[in-house]
Amino acid sequence: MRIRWIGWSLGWIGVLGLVACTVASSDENPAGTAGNAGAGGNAVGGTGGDGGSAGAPNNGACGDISVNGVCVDDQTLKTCVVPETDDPTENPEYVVTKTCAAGTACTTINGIAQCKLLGECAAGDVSCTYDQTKLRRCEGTGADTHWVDTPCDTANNEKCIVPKPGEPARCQVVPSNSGSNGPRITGRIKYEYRKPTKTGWSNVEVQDATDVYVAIFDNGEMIGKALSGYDPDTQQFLYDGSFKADLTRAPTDATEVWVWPMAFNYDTGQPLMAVAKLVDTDVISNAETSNAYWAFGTDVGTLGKTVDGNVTNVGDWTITEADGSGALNIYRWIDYGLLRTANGISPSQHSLIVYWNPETGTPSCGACFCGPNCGGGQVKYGDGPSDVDHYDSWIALGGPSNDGSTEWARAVISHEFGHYVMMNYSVSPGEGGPHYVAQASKPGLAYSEGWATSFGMTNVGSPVYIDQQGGTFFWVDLSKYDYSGGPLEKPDPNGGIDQNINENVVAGMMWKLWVDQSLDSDGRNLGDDKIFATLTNPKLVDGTYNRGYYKVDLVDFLDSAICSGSATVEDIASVTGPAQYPYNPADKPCP
Amino acid sequence: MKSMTKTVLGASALCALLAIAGCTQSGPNSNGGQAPPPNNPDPTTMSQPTSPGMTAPLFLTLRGPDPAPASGNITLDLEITVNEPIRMPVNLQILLPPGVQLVAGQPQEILNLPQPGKLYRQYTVVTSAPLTQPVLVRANASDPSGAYGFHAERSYPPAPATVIQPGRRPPMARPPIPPR
Repeated sequence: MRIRWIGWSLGWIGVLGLVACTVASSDENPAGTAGNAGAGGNAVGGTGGDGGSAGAPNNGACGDISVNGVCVDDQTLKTCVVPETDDPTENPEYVVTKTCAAGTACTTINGIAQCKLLGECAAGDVSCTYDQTKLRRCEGTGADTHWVDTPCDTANNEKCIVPKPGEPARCQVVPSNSGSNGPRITGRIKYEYRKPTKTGWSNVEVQDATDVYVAIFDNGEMIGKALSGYDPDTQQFLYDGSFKADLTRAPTDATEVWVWPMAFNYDTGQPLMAVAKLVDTDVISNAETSNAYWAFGTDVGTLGKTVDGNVTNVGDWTITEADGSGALNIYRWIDYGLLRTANGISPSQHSLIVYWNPETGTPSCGACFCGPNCGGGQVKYGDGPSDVDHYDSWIALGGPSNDGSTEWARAVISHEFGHYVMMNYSVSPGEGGPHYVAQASKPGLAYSEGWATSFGMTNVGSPVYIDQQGGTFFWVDLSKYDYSGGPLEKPDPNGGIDQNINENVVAGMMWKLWVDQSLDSDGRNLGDDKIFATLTNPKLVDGTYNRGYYKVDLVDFLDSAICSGSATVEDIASVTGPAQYPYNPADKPCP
Repeated sequence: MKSMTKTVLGASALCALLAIAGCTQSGPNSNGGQAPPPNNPDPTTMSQPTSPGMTAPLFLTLRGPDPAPASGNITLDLEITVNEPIRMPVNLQILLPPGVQLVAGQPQEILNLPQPGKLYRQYTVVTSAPLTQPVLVRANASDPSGAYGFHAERSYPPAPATVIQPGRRPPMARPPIPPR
């Protein structure tokens, strides 16, 4: 159940990323977390053809502007925002207008209107290839923009680097003693976190921060970098917080160690996902005004050190709750989801920025996701015109500890990421509006929310959703179709396949299809591979399988599961029967 | 003396609570609830709410004098907002720190809350010295099958929000290239 996901039911493309039993990992250590998720995926866009279920005119205040957005012209994107509210008179839907940035144009992809780069890059950008052997300049104009690489003189120890903030990338001679025989710094990054329990967040515990960016600075110059949990010597992921950074010069006590919860896209060299500071509780405004990433710094002198030859070990560094370690916990669960879907579906991923800052407060939406149809999110981290990162999608999370500390609510974080998965890999019903724990919703909305919840539960390896709101902790086991008010409303078994349906009943059915019987006695163990195959089935995505309700919904998903060979009729019947869902496989749109 | 009131809801739940604030409620008050404090609407005369969004089943709001008196009687008003029918018994209790005695109000009771709405409780405690630990009010409920439940807690004085210390400024706003 997505208690925290309020209101911005803007179109996310539906990729049911139910991840399988492989997900059932150690509670605090998601299986397989490591490695910046993936290659591929331009940071400012994606590919794909038009498709998806047909939309219907919006008859509310938004008029013909749908939640999936509309390109009014080449530079203007309009999207309908539908607050989740019981009072649409007081909180009516409204239209957000975005002007696409220079070098981008409004384009509709998979039914989602978005601002997309015309060419390969933004004209004038200067960067380094990820291996630091080439300097790249973005040349051309409009759709002809492209990277032009100039090799550095590596034979004479040149590397491409960004020497100091505000200075452009350049090829520069790096002292020849750098590398495996040169100075090196090692250590281990840890952070404080709290577990969700049925009576509240646990006391502070400490665990490794894996897959975070570690940078070493000396006198303001970046002299080394590393990925925690990755051993450059063996090129293996260790799934812990250890790091090894080769340096261009030996560290001193004043040398600084910095950590960013930031994953990169290794094809583009641009950030793929990061946690930035929420600066405005108005989430639409915040996506245009956020101006800082979460980062944590200390120095070697503070950490203490032992020196063995060229290797300086600074030991463990624990980033505390008072430092803002919640950002690292958010990063952990999103990063894990990225890795799962990169491995299970495709490494091509759209960029995602997560906004959180308890000092600012709880976002107007509580906790929410919005895809490219919101115009994306950005972080303007400097004063220069190019000191801004654009992300395809954003997630906003709250809030102060005396309200609801979403940074510890792994189920909520993973639910919001489930919306991203749908947006990134499949097709969204693009259906907004209020939705309630115990009430039936429109089939498209219930499908989208049910997907997000079931994905989130598989991400955390439990059907128990735990959240905190207003000082109250509450939990619901979605596998039991139950909540505090009694049994969840099930569909009418004699009703149509286009009837409204409770999103948590949808989530429960998906969960049972997904997991094995160690997690749910009714589990059908389709696992990530088959669920992802169902979700990304081209005939689901392009609308070929659409029947019943006019938007993509659970019926189409179940058809896709059978038609793709991912599930048997028996699998489907075993979950639709107890849920009283009148799905008839005989009507499926395939032989 | 201003009222010390904890934040009841995140913005996400605000709309839902606004709707609930105007709910019909015979359920909670039928369970022996005391009269609502002045200026609080009579929950029995309000219209039936629409169903709230997906919010916690119940919220507590605890009010008391700000600042907390160094000694003497302290009156605490508890507002219980029931967001949805709760079909299991709710255990409500007040927990007192050492040196504090309850002089009015029930230390523990079982609530039956079959309907959304609000109900109120008032407690008076007495202390001879400044509070070194907070007074806690808790409401707990759990389905025997483990399918659902909640734990609501408020303290007086209110627990401060965790403060994030301003850290040092990074040499770069963000790293310019991937880490490996």
